[in-house]
Amino acid sequence: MKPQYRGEDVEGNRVWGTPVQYLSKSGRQVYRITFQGGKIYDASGALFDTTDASTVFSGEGKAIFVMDENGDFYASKFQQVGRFHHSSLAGGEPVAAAGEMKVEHGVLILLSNKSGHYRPGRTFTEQALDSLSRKGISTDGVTRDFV
Amino acid sequence: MLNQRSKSLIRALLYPIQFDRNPVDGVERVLKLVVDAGALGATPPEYLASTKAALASSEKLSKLIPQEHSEKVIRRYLMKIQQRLSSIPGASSHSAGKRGVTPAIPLPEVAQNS
Repeated sequence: MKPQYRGEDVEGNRVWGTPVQYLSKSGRQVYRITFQGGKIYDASGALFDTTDASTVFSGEGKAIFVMDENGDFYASKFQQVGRFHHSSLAGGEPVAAAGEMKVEHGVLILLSNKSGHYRPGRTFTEQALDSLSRKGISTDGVTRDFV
Repeated sequence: MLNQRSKSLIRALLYPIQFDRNPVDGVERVLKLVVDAGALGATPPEYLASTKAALASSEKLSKLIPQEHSEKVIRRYLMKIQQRLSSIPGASSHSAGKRGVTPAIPLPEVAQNS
């Protein structure tokens, strides 16, 4: 995470003033997405779909995601400046990938590396795509939205 | 010098457009997802007052968050934000800081196909 955002989870911090929510390891489980039969599922077991999601970078139709050092993915359909960011999903810890994803009926459509807090290079997104491929997700037709 | 609160509000306005090729294209998205959403608990008058203060300051606004747009591009974007916020009824700077009422941001004028 960029050092400028350190301490943002504390009330009265010098970044936003208001605290950003940082999820604990147990708290982030409701945001975990899993993979089965080539499809993506949310924590409730339903097909993941970002049609009703939005990010501050792209507007509607995408969710923010992070991949941790174990290759586990967490995604949120909600992002709000100064309240909930990629850093929220990771509890402020380092990530193996971060960005946005567009998913329709469990099918991955797009992956980006747009994360203001982590600003990861393309390598990290490729890392995420490799991990997804190993989990049975087809990445051939997936749009790569690199910045 | 910008005060801490104004710096935070300007960060909130800059954060969403850091990856936009042309930040001005993101103005309406930011007004909806930041200002209208009351991000950081601020009202449109507070965002307007902070934008005016920022544009009148010598602060390096492009350095308030890690991003790659130039100072010129960032200030042009904030100028557009200021113009749009100024068009909101009741969002004048004298009422900045009063909370509780968040005026809805009117949509920009668009050409009508008829």
